[in-house]
Amino acid sequence: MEIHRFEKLWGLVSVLLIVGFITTIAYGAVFVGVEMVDASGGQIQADELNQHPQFSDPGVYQTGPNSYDVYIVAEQFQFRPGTQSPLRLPADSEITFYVTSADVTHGFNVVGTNVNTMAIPGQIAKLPVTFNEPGTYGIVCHEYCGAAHHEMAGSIVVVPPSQYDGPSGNTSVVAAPGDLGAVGVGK
Amino acid sequence: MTHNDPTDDPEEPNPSPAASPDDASRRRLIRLLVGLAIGIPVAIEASTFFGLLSGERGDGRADIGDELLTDTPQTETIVDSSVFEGPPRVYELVIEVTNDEETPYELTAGPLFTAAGEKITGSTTAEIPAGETGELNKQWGIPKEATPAAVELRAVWGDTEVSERVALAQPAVYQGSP
Amino acid sequence: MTFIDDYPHEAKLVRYCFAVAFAALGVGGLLGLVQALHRTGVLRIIDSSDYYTVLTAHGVLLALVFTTFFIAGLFRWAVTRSLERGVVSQRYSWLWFGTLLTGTILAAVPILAGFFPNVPMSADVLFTFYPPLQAHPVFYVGAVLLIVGSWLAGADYFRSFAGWRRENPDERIPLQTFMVLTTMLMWYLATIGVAAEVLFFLIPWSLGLIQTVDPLLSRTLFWFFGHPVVYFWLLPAYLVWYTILPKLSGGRLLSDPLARIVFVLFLLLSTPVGFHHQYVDPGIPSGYKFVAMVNTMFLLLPSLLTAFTVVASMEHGARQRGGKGRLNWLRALPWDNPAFVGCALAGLMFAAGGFSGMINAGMNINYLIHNTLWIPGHFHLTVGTAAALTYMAVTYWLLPQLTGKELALKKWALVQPYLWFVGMTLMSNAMHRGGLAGIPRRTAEPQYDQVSFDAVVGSVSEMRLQIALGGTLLFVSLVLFLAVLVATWLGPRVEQISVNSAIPEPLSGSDHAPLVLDNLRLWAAIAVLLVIIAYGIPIWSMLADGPFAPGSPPFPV
Repeated sequence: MEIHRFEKLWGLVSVLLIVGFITTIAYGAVFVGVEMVDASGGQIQADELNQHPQFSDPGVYQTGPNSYDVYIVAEQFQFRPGTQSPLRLPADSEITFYVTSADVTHGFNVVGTNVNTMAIPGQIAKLPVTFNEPGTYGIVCHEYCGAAHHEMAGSIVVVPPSQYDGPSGNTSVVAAPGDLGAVGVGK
Repeated sequence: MTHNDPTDDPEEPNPSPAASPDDASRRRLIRLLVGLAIGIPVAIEASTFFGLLSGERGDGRADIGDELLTDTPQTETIVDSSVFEGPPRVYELVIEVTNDEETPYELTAGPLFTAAGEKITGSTTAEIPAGETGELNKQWGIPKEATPAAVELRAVWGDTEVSERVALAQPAVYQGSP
Repeated sequence: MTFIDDYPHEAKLVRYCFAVAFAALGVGGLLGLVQALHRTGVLRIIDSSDYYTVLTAHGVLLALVFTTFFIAGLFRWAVTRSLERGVVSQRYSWLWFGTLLTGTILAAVPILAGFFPNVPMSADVLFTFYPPLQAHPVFYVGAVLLIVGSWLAGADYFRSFAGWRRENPDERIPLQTFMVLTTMLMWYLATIGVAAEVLFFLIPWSLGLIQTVDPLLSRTLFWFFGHPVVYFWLLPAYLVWYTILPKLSGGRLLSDPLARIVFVLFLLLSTPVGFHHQYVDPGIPSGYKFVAMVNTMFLLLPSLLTAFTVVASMEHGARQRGGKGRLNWLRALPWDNPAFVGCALAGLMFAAGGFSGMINAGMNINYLIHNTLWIPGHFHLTVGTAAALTYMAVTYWLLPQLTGKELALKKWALVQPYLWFVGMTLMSNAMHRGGLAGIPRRTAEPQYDQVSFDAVVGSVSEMRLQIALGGTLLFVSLVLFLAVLVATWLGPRVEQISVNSAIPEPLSGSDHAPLVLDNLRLWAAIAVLLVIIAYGIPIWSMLADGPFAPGSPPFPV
């Protein structure tokens, strides 16, 4: 089979380009440490959220001197918390978001950042995040979830660490990672 | 023009009317179409590309954590910028000032301007002695639906006075009062 | 002798397919204009809650109905022409057409009923119909019939091929038929996911026979299908670019064997990549996402190879027409031939779409643009231009052969692809920029009290205007196309059409292609194996905790 010289060269360059792309993504995953949302958040029964220790009272839970777990319930048509009252978080801290849905599939996107995941009923999306820059961030739902989908939004206010007063409105239960997991998932 | 295989004639465009002026106008139309169809997209993409390279991100509006009045030797940082629904509906701006200079420093914030262009009067002045850190805290009553968009700042120290209208990033909205 | 004279039944079948396809394109395109003006705030003539009805209709009519009917017709033409045989059974061919049409009507009625609040039927679930949002059962039945109809159409092509094979045991599969068969094999594999989702889960659930479905499993089964479907749309465009565009350019296809290799690569790699639409989904281990990423990146290879072969074939044609010089040969191409122009501009735009797709495929980069306006910016370049504009362009060349009539309103036909290209650049450029700013897709009013978007280049209000303007130009281009169609259809039959329908042999012919390329069974088996590797364990574990668990009850729209 005859392949023109130029086409061989083009094919080689193409394969190198492809391998290059794969390498940069792998670099971001392995060395820079950008984790993908995966199954480690566990599962949950969407209509039994009020039996879960944290999702029954979603919000900010301090787990260490500079680490916080943030539980967010997405539902038609708000983020709880986030919509009625902005989430307040300190910059430069280790934050782990746990996001789930109480009804249909929603999106969860902190605008202008790479905090972007799906809130799927039955699943808990776990994202470790550090906000390096204080500021006011918007949250949008970017997956169609019903007639008022375009009204579903919220905000996160990230304040300089010295300005943070601590989580408010939740019992400050220090939850070890092992405490979390499937609650209410049964056959 | 040669080709080895006599299987076929290449596609012939539909014969245009024999008269030459029609041919010429057809060629002009083609040139115009190709020119615009390639030129406009190239212009759009090139301006996008160079816009990206120029590196200007965002619209330079001041948010929590941002430093204001970068020309002054003192440091002025927004530590809070929030709207409270109340009632009454209120916008609160809190600026922390660090005065490392040898002279006392005075910062005034106000009036406030909304996105719709309305001016909300009222200002507060904070005096920060030399070598100290202080806070300026001002609340303005704002109408429903109004979004704070800019605030007039004036800094005075020694013989120097600096004024600037600073654009504000959209603040978060809280229920209740501050 | 024209196609309509040689194969009157097949010509009629193709005409009917095209008629439904372009009717869907017209309605879907009009709805697209409504959307573009609504979400940018330029003109709102409907309630924002009705936007999602419009969006569902737009997606289903364009991405499922327009495409499937056009492809079914194009493929029937290509198989007939390249095998020089018609259908095995005329009745059977009307059966698949009827199934497709019934499915379309059954899906369309509940969608359109969403506009009428007093009709107790709706399907505001968008083209992806993710549960737990639930449409009327008739919608799901319609969707299944559309899929089944396409399977029946595929069998039609395989039956013609089997008949030809019996009479030509030692010949290479003619290239166009080879392309049709490999595409359909990929399609059979791909549709397993969505057929299972709809048949085993969504239809019983919407009829109340089962109480809950697992939303993650449903999404996974949908995207099993949702990525290869784009190659179902794209490969017919590739068929046109490989086998017809060189001839329109004045020359011949550079290499038949390379074209075969490209189609085999698509058969192998189109399906085991679906997780790249679920990179940010919880419940799926990241190892499988990584595998999907690697497969997706390799899926670039056949497209990059296509770019070379198609451009080289165009250059060959240009030089046959007297073009000279390093780049000057471009001017010798037939820029006054609407069929050529549409295909060439569609191919050019596809290069841009391919690059934005590479960004989407970049697993951790995907975080930045998932579900933002970038995504529709991307796919309007690919299905919206590479596929749709090529389909329109080849129709200019095919329509006289299918009808025995001259193409009417030729000046409008000439302007149409140029206008589409400019309109799409405006709209898609602004959508990509909007996505980088975080503006969401699938949203009637992406203007929020609590959220402001920072444009990376330009301003958000300027992006909105650009989308509205681009969408309007696209609609005008669509009207031009439909006008040419209708005027041609209403025109008189002629003795001799002026389209030259002959397609010359490639420079490097099928006899140079290794025999193994024609071993369709081998490639199908490898394709299945790759899918089992990519999807086997993840789907098994989703089923293992209960096929309906963690389950969600319906949320009717």
